[in-house]
Amino acid sequence: MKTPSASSSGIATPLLQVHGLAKHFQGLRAVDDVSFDVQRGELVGLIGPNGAGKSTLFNCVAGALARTAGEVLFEGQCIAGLDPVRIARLGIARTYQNLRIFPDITVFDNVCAGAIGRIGISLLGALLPALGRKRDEAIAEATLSALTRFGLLEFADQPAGNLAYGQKKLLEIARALTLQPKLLLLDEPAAGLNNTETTELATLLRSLRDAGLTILLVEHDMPMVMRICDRIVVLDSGRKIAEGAPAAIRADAAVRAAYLGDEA
Amino acid sequence: MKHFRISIRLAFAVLLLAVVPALLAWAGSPYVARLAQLVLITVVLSGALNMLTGTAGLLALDTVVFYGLGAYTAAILSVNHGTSFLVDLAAAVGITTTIGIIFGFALVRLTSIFFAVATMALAISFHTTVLNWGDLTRGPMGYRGIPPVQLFGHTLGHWLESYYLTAIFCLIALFIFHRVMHSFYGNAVRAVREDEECARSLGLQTRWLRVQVYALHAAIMGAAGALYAHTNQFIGPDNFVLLESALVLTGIIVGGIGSLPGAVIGGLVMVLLPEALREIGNLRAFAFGLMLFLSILFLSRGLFSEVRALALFRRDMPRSPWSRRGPLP
Repeated sequence: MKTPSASSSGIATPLLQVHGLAKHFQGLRAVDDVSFDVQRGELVGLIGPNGAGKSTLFNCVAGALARTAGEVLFEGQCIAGLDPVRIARLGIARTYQNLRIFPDITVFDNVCAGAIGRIGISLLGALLPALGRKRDEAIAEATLSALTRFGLLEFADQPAGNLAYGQKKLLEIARALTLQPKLLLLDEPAAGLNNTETTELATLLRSLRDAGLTILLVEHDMPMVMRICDRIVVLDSGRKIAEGAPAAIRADAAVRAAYLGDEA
Repeated sequence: MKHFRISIRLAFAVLLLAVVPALLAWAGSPYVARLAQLVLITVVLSGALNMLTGTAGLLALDTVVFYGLGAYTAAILSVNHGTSFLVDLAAAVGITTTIGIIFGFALVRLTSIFFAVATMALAISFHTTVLNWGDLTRGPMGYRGIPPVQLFGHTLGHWLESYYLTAIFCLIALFIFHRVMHSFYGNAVRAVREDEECARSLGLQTRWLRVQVYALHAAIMGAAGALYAHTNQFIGPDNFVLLESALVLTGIIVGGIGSLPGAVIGGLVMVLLPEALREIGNLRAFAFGLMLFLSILFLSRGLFSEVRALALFRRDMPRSPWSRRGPLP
């Protein structure tokens, strides 16, 4: 077992631990021996040039891809290889790089999906109103508070496909948050947003982090990552080349080389 | 708006239990009453199929399999073993639920056209089995002389009594569809339909949800089959050909895929329209086809779309903003 001994002692276990994670697609080493931790309450950025393996790593953590080797520990428990449903119920919510909302159903029905996943529903509860009422009320309450918080309440009964792009992005985050996750995985939330929307998103993520949520953020928008992240992990060609505070990353020679080419 | 919500259900119950029987009594014709019953049973089949194909997004052609299983279970038990209606009904529901769960686990791994083709194969093999397993099903002869429904020692011999039984059955089935389609359960099933992978990442057990919906649709169709066998008193393989599945499917597409009012409209149209067109003789099939073609061309979401149906019934959700706000435009 590569599990660090800290888990059994009194020292707080990091919320997420990635140890020697690798994902190979036939010959291609998309992610190769990457290790890092995410502490509780931290906002960690995962950056790297195109094709660095950010999204692959992200999908291995979220359970959407099976890893080739290595360990992913969540609250000290191994989650690599678990079904995405189990991972979600353990407290990890995610968004997608290419927006995946449910376009034909309403904004309310989109957002409540996460609450349903957390609270659960049963066929019997649906058929006998008295049995399901408590759960139904909890789901409705979680959905309404998420809609209110993200300013989506006025669009609640519109088909989600009718929303503006920025609102769809917010909808996806709102939906993920109704799972009440301990860890939120965001895959390029700023992609496609204009400057104003990106600033708003940054403020929102910072306020979520200040409220105690742990966030792992994969992002291309370098100024935003530098501004809001507590710590940054840099990938290049599937390997981790740097890790540290934004200021240190900015000054790191290896990171500069990866982004600007080796001669720089 | 609670009184308004109840009044939709109440109005429908009054329609089925008072207005229609009054009209039937006025017409005084067992043929019209039989037609009304056929409409109600078709509405139940449409509702069950719309829950599976509309709400869960699984395009299915196996209506006749479970409808037929229920009907043959009732026929075989009552004719060969003299069991009563309630026993047949329970047996039909039991068998179709069990088979629904078993097939469900196998089938829900498939989606879209693959699911449709697999269910079509089921429908064809069911018909072939019924034709060839003569010892059990009496092959092409079918079952004659299925006794009329007996409840608590009383035989429902009169056509009006028989109609009432069917109407009550239809109302119960509609209530089940209503609760499934217009609840958070329905929301979860629709989320699975829209994007399965994403629904899994939100903690929804997508396959299990689909199996449940599949088994429920099978059970209700099985019950409808048992009722059909006992009220029609004759069943044969010709009642359960693939074309019948396609007709029910066409009905919900015309009525509105994913919408419960759409299923009711679909059931009505698919039974009554061919009857109404009887006058024009050979042109009937052409006129029928033309109407379906036009309705699909101009009303791609059906006469009563899912969006409208959900807006109408959304007030049933607890403590949603709509429960305070009232009906939507």
